[in-house]
Amino acid sequence: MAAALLQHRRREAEAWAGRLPALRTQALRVAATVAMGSHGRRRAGQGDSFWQFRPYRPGDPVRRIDWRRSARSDRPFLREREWEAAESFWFWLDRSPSMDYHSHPNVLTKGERAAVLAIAAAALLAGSGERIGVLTAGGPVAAGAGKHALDRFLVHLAGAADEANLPPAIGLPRFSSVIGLGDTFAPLDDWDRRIAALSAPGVRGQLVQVVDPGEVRFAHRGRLRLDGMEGEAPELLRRAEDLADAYNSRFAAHGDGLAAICQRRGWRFLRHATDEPPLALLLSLYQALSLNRRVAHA
Amino acid sequence: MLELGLIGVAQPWVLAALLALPGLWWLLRLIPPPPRRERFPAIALLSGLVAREESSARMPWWLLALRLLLAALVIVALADPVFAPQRAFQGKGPLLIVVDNGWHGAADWPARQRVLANLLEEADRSERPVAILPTAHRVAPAGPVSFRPAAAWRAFAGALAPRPWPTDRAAVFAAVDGQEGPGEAVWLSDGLESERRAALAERLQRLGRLVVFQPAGAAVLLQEPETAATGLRIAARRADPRLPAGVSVQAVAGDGRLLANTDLAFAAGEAETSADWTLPRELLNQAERLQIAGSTHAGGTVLLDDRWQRRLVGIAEAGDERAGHPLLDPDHYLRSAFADLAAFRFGPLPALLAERPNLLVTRERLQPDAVTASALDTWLEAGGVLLRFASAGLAEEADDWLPVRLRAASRALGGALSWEVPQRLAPFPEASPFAGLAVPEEVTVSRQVLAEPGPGLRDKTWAVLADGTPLVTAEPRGRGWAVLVHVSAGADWSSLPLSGLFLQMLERLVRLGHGQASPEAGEAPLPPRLVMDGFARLREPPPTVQALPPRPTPATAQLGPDHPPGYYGGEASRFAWNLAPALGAAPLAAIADWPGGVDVRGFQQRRSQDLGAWLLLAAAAVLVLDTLASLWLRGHLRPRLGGAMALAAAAAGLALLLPADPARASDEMALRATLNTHLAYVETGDPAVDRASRAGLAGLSHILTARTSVEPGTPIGVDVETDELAFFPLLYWPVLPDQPLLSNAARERVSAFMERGGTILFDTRDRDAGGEAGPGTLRLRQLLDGMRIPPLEPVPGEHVLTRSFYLISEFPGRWEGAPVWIEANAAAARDGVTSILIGRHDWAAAWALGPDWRPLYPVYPGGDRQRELAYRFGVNLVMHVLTGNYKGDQVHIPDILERLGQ
Repeated sequence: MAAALLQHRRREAEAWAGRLPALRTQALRVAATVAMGSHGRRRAGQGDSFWQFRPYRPGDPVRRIDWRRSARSDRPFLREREWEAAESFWFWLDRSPSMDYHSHPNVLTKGERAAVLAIAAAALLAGSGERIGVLTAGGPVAAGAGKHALDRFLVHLAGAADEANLPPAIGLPRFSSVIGLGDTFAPLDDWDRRIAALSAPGVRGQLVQVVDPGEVRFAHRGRLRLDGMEGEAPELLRRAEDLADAYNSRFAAHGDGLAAICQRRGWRFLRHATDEPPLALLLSLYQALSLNRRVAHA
Repeated sequence: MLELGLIGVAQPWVLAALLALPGLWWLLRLIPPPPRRERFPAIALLSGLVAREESSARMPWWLLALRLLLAALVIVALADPVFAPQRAFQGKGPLLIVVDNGWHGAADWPARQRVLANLLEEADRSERPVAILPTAHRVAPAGPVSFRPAAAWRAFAGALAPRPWPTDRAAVFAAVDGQEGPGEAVWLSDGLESERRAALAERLQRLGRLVVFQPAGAAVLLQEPETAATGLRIAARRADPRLPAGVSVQAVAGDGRLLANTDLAFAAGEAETSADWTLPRELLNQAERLQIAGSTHAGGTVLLDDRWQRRLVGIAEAGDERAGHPLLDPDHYLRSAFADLAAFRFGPLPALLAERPNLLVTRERLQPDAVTASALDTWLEAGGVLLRFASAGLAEEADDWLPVRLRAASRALGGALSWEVPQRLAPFPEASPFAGLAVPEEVTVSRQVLAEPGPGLRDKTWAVLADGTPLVTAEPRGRGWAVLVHVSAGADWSSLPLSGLFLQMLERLVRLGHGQASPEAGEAPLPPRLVMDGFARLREPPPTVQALPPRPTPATAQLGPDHPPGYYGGEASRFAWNLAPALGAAPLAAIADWPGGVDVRGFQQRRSQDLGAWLLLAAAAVLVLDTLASLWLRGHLRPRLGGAMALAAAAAGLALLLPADPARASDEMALRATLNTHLAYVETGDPAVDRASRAGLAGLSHILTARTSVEPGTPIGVDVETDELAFFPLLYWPVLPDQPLLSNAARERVSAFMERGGTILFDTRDRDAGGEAGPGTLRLRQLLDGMRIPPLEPVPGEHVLTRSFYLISEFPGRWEGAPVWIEANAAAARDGVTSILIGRHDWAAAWALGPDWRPLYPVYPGGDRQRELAYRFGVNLVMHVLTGNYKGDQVHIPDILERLGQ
C-alpha cells in the first residue's frame, strides 16, 4: 500500500517534472516581457558589467580611471560598473493535490499557473544576478546565481515533492526573501504560525494566492455533491446557489485574514486568479521585489 | 396470435409484463437520481455551511416517463408484434382450395397465384393434403375430390391460368357434394355472383372452416357495340353499381396500335351505361378490338369483325369503252362516291363474288355463265345487295336479276323533240330505305327506263319521280336485294350522280348489305382461327377448341372450353365470338354476402412486417436519450447539448422558412438536364433497381468520357408521370414485374417522346425465360399497351447500331443470348434512329461501376469480355442515338472510292 502510494507519487512528480520545460518556456516568454519593461538596475555599483563613463571628480580613487577612454579626450574618465548586490530569493510552491484543479479546461490549473509565475520570477531574478533557490520540506536548496541558476532552479523545483499546503517552517539567513505561491486554503492560524516562523530578521516575504475563478465566485447550481481534493469529507448540496453568498463572504474573509497576517509580518500579499494574465501579477511581484531590495540596501 | 386491428401479437402472454409497469414507476420514484459530482478544492471554506439533506430528491417526471416508455417498448417488442400479419390457417385435415379462374379471375391473377402459392407452402409445412378445384375448367371435375400432398400441386398451381369463360360453380358443387369433413376449404373467389354460389359456400363450410378471398376491384364487362350512324354505340356493365365511376374504352388495331379512346361514364347507381362513340370510318375499319383501358380480363375486350367494319363494295367492270374524260366515265362517280363509304373493288363478276362483297354494283346487263349465275344467286340469298344502273340496252334485253319488268323502251324527257321537262324527285316513300333523305331541287332526270306497271310495283319502289314513275325499285332475293336505279350511273341521264343525294343513297344501300361477310350466310361450321386466353390475348387455338356451328348465337353454341372467345371462320370472313353476348342479359352482380362464419379476406394483403425489431430500435433510441438526459442531469453535457439543441432548432426553423418551390425545382431540373448531355433512367420506385440504373449509367458515362468525345454528366433519374422527358436523348427504362401501369397522360408523353426523337431502352431484366416471355416482358406488354409502338424486329446484322462506334454483333448485358428488338423501319425524319429498344439483358447492372470504378455486379456467363461487349453496346447505342445514321453512310464508301478512282 505504502509502496503503491509512493510509486503513485513518484509518477505524479515525474509528470510534474515533465511539464516543467513547457511551463518554463511560457514563463520565459512572460519574463521577457517584464524584463523589457524594467531594464537593468540603471545604477552604478559593484558588478561585472559596464555601466557608464563619467568624468573624474575630485575624491574618486585614481585606479578607477579608465585610461583608454581618458586618452581620447583632455579630461580623465572613470569607468563605472553597474551596481550589483546579491540577495537570496527562496521560492515555495504549493504542490498539494488541490492545486491540480481548473474549473474550465481553457485555463491552466492553479499548480501550473503558480509554476509559471515562479519560473518567470526566478528567471527575472536570475537574469539580474540575484541568487535564487527553492524552499523544500528538507530545507532551502540554493540554485545560486548566474547563467545556469535557472536550470538548477528548475531541477530543484522538480525535485521538491512534498505535498504540504503550507511552506516549511525553516530558519533562513539574512538577506533572504521568500516568495510563496499556493491556493492558501489552509486555516488562517496555520498560516500565521508559518509566516511567523519564516520571518526571521532580515527575511522578507511575499505570498501569492493563486486561485481558480471557480473558487473566487461560487457559481454552482442545483443538486450536487462536492468532493474535496485533499481528503476532505464530501458535501452534498441540495441547492448550491443558496450557498453562494455565504461562500463568497467566507472566501473574502479568508483573503482578508491572510492579507492581515502578511501585513503584520511585513510580507506582501498578492492574489492571482488563473483566468487573469500572468503578466500583471509578475510585474507587481517583480516591482515589489525590487522595492523590497531597495528598501533593504539603499 | 392475438390481433389488434392491423397489428398482431405472436406472444400475447409477454404483454402481461406491462402490468408490472406501475411497480416500476413506484420503484423509480423511490430511488433518487445520483447528484452531479464535482471536485472543489475550496471545500474547506464550505464546512458548516451545508445543511444535511433530509428527503430524497425526486426524479423529474419526464425522465420517469422516458424510462417507463423504455420498459414498455421492450416488453411489447418481446411480444413479437407483427404489422398486418398473415393469418395462418391453423385448421387441420385436408385443405380444399376452390379457385375461380373464370374470365374475371384474370383481373388480379398474380395476387391470386401468390395467395395460392402461399396456401400450398403453408399446407406443405403442416403436411396437409390438398386438392385444388378450378371453377372454370376444360373438363368438368368429377367427384370425389382426390387429395394429394401440397408439393404435388405446385406445378398444377403454377400452370393454372384464368379462362376467358364464366365459372361453372355448379360442377364444382357436384364434385364437392360427396366430400366429408373435417377439413378446411379456401375459396379464391372472383367476386361475381353465379348460380349455386351460395350453395357451394354452404357446402364448403360444412367441411369445417371456409376462408374466402374476395377481390377488391369490381368487374366491368364491355358489351358488344352496335353500329351507329356516326360510329359505334358502346355499352358496358359493372358488377358493383357504385364503382368504378367510369372506364376508358380504347379501339386497338390488329397490330396493337391505339386508334382512339373515349371515356364511358356510369350514372350514379346504374349498373349499365352506353354511349355513342363518333369514330371515323378509317379508324373503325382498322379496329380489331375494343377494350377497357387497363383491363386484363376477357370481359374487358370485345373483338370486332366485319359486322362492325366498313363494307366491301364490288363494282363489276363494264365492257364498254372507257371514256377519255373522267367526268364522262360513269365509273368515276361510283368510284368517288364509294371512296368515302367503303372499300371497293373493280373486277369481273366471278372474282368479285368470290370476295363476297356487301354490295355489288353493275351498270350493264348481266350475262353470267351458269356457275357465276348460281354463285350470284347464292350470294343474293345470303344477304348481298345487287345494285344495278340502267343502261341503253337494258330494257331490251332483260335478265333475271331485275326487280321489275321493264318496258321495252326508255323515255327521254326534256329533249329537243319533247314537250316534257326533266323531272324532279318526289319525296321518298316511308317504306323506302332512303326515307328521310332530303330531296334537293337541282336533281333532275332527263332519261329513264320505265317499269312495267303492275300490282306489286308500288311495294317495290324505293324512290319515285315527281310524276310518279319509279326511280329506284328493289326486290328481295332471299336475305338480299336486287336493286335497280332507273337511270345510268353517269351524268348523261340525270344529274343525280352529281348531287350529294347520290352519296347518301349509296351509303344507305351499303348499310343494307349487312352481314354479308359474316358466316350467317354460310352453312359450314366455323373453325377456330385465333382464340383468346384468360388475359384477353389472342392465341393459336389449342386442339381442344371445336368449330362453331354456322350462324352461332349464345343459344346454339355455348361459350366455354369448347368454344372460347376469339375469331372463328375462314380467312376471308372471320367471325368474332365474344364473351359479353354469352353472359347474356343476366345481371352482372358482385357477391354481396357470404354465409355467417365465413372468414372473408382480400387478395391484396399488406406485406406483413415484423415490428419487434423496430420497437427494439426505438427502445435503444430511448435508452440513448435516457443516458443523455442522465448525463445532462449530472452536469456532464451542459455546454455542448445547448449548442446542439440550438443548431437543431435553427435547422428546423430554416426548413420551415424555405418551403420547396416546385416551379423552381422543375426549372432547376431543366437547367441541370440541358446544360450538359445526360443519360437518364426511369425511376421504378424500387431502390435497388434505381441504384443499379444510376450506377449503370454512371459507369457508361465514365466509359463514354474515357473513350469517346461524348462526355455525359451525371445520370438523371426521371419519373415519367411528372418529369419532362424532352431533355434526354436516351432513356433507360428497367421494367419490373410489378411496375405500376402508366396514366393516360404519361402514356401520351412517352409516345410523344419516342415520336419526337427520343429513344427508350426497355430492359425487362428477365434473366432467361427460355423462349417464353418472362414476368418483366409480360409487364412491358401491359405497359406499352395502347402506346403508339412502331413495328419491331430483332436488330438486323447490318444495322447501324452494330457499327456506330465499335463493330459488334451481339448485345450482351449482365446476361446474353436473347434478341434485342428495335424499330423495324425507323423514320427518316429521325435520321433512322430507332425510337425503342427492347431487351432483357439487364444492361445497367453490367455497366454499373462503384465509386472506385470497379464493377458492382457479376455478369453471366461471365468474363471481362462480356462486360466489355456490354460497354461497347452502350457506347454504340449512345453514338447511334446522338449521331443517327452517320456511320450508316459508310455503307457507300466502296461506291465513293470507286467513283474517285475514275
